[in-house]
Amino acid sequence: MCIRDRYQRRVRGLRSFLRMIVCVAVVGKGNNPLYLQNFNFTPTNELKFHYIVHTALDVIEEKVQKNIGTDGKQAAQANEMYLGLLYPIEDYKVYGYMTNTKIKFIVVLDDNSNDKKDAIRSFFKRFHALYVDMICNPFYTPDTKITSAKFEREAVKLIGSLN
Amino acid sequence: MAANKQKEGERVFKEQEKINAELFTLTYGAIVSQLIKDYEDIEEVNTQLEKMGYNIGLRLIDEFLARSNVGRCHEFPETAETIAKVGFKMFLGVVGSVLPNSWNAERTEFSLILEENPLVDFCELPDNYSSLNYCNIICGVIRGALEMVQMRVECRITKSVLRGDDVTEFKITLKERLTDDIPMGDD
Repeated sequence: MCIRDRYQRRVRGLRSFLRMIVCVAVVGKGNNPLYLQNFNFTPTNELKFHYIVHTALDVIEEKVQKNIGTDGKQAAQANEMYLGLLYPIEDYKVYGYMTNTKIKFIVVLDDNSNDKKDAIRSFFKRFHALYVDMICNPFYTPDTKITSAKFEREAVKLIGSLN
Repeated sequence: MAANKQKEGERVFKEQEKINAELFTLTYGAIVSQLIKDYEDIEEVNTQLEKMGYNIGLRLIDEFLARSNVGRCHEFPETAETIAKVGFKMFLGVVGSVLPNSWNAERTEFSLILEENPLVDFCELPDNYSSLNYCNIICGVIRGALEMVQMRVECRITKSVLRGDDVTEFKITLKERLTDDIPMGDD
């Protein structure tokens, strides 16, 4: 689990409006956590986000089962990587995205924000592109903890541009 | 002189068969990471990469001379420009530049800069591999190729994007000019 406090400290000094994306996580195909990053203003119990992401995994499995269970006519939907809103919790909404290789991206959004479906969809697409660039590193073993500084930098930049 | 070389480089590059750049980068990355798994010692991996490059260079120079129209280089600076503008363009698709201030007094040592390096795309060096010269294969290629045209050189990497620099820099030193052992007879 890569929780970076220094980003939180830096962020507090900058803008003061409410941020949209509060947490981003990458989970491997065995439901093992690979990357988790908070973008929260107020100091929170980081464990809470681990718990939220963990709960999201069950919802993802349900959704995916449902997609597989449908007949041939809806096969196109079965390939859809964007899973949409998974579930709401407290002040947050949790969105999910699963790649063909069963890598899951989970994003926790602040409920007070007016987020358009397209913005989140395009966020996942760009996040997926960042993930692919990171995997191409010959020194990264897939399905292990993500330690790439470049990936973190780019992810933070991407989220900063959306918030 | 540099402008001619550049034009020649582009001409040859246009006629070359191309390979998908990502496939090339990923293949090289796989080679390096497999070498590390096999040898486990980074210095040994550096040596092996150089050796592999040397064997490639011995063969590459013939293809280079066959396809490009460059004639015999009269002096070492001309060789340097040819490698940077024609050689790199032909085989890697990128153009290098020779740093003019890097020449030593006897004109036997220079630095070659690559601003783009297709070998290192997507690559990030973990901290425990910081002594790895990822592009060492290029050093070997230069050494092997120049040896076949009667020059013994030493080539090493002095700047690497994987270590935080913004360019890849090679330092090439001419050690001696080789003469054929068999004397040229009249028969």
